[in-house]
Amino acid sequence: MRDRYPGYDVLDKRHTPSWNEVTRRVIDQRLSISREPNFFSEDEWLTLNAICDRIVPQPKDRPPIPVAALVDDKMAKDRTDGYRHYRLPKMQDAWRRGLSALDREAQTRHGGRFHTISVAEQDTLLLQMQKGSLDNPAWDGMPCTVFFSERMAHDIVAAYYAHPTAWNEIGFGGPASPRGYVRMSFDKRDPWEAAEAKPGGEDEARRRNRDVG
Amino acid sequence: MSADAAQEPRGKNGRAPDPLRVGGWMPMREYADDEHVDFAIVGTGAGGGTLACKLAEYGFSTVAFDAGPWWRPLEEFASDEDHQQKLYWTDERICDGDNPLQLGSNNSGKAVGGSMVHFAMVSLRFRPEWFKARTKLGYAVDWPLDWREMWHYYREVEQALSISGPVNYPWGPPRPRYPYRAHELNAAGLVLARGCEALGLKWTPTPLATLSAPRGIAHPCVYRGFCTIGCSTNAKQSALITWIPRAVRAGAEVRDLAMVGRIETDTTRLCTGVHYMREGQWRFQKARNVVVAGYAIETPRLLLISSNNWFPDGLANSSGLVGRNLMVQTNQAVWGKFDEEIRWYKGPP
Ligand SMILES: Cc1cc2nc3c(=O)[nH]c(=O)nc-3n(C[C@H](O)[C@H](O)[C@H](O)COP(=O)(O)OP(=O)(O)OC[C@H]3O[C@@H](n4cnc5c(N)ncnc54)[C@H](O)[C@@H]3O)c2cc1C
Repeated sequence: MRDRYPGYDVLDKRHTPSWNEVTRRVIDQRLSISREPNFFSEDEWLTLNAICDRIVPQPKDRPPIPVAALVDDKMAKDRTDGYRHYRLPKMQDAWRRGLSALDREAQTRHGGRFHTISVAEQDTLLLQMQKGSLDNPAWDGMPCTVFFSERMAHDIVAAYYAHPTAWNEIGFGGPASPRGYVRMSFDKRDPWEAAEAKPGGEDEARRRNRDVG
Repeated sequence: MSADAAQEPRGKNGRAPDPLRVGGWMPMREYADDEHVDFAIVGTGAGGGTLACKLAEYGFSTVAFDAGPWWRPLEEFASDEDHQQKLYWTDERICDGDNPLQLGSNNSGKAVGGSMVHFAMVSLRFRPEWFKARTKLGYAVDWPLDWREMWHYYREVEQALSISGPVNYPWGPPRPRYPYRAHELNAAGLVLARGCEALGLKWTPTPLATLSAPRGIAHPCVYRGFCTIGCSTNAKQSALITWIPRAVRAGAEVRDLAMVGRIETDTTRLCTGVHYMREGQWRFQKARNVVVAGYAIETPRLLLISSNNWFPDGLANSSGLVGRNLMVQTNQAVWGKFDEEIRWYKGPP
């Protein structure tokens, strides 16, 4: 993947007026999250990691965002959303049922657990899940398509974009309190914002991004 | 920093947090549970917070309850979307029916100040014809009050919240100057303005409830763009930092982490007070009047849950409409790609 914001690291702003004390605490906690599951079982963990790798594939040339661990943390703390589609069981139960149902589907359709089948087979299954065409009894009345959009993809994508590494990737300014921003208009970058590399302008962008801190 | 606001009530022992000062407190009057107060108010958001202030200023004894915590934004609001979910009502709500509502976690707030703590600050006035929707536009119902009456209150609120707005508002009857100047538009706003001009449409910067100049010890909006997850600099004029402190100063008591579970009525079919849960205990506050201002979901829920022999279908429900035709905060957004850099995360919405 082309690095659109070369050299930009939102964490360089950690000790600037863009981050207040409470933000530092919150982000530090997220960065130091345990890489071992606290909620999911060993089996579920393997399946979850394999799903995350397909929903938000990550480049190999940087430390990965611990997406599965962030989802696990949400489950362990039972941080619910406040709303639930009536066909879905409670958040934790939905995840448990969804993971085991997907594994069953992988077994019957492709002869192995989800994390062991090929990437193409995994994608096929996920697409079928999204379209609502999986029907193993293990779903137990939970529509796989609702689980896909309102639970699985929802939690995984939210976890991914809650991580500073993802902010770097999309050039998001990140935390901004109390300094905020000054330049509001078109093509106006504040010096503590990510610079996007125009083709051929990678070095220039890299130089600017070095100074966001 | 003091104890966790989500665990320990802060509005007690004769004092309340002063959210405008780091670590600040202000004295707060307290009422006993068995004291018949004039008003018990459920919810301290846009409705309840405002009313608590006005009632207290008119001299009524007033106790306002909120299920949520009493935050100190300067110390406790992070610039982080995930963390700030602590502002939302995330107790479970099940979306059922033929066409289940698509809610989001932020669909309503659970905090002293209510949903205003994370609302988008857009401060519009209803136009005259909308008060006569049935007669003039052919839909819904006419309001039981005249637009001029409401416009008088808009004026009061715009002053109280130091609304920033344009010098000339291009639609509807002339309105008085907004107390604070309009905010600069961000690039996303400029795109819309450019579009309007291309189409020959009028446009104006939106009147907003965030400061465009200092107010007391609160400084102007710094355009950090995290408005809808809670303002950490107190530029946002939410009930938490406007009506509530004013209410407390005028003698109202505000009880945080106090969830009202039931409204009681007596044999005369009038209400007598509210049952509420605070610090692990069910208690009963006597009151002559009860105001329910808990947002479009919790208000009907409480009215229905308070059914009794005299009101088998719930309180205030002779029409049978309580809990029906639910409308929540809607959201409208357009996304597009432009040649210029937009950086839409900057500035107020
Ligand atoms: C994301 C978002 C953005 C918005 N943006 C705008 C905008 O830009 N402009 C605009 O005009 N409006 C906006 N709104 C709408 C506006 O915020 C609401 O209409 C308004 O806050 C509703 O006021 P309320 O008093 O009915 O309820 P709220 O302000 O929601 O207050 C209700 C309070 O009652 C408490 N409560 C509920 N039940 C109980 C109980 N049983 N016991 C104790 N306490 C209880 C809750 O904890 C809450 O604090 C927005 C809303 C949302 C969700």
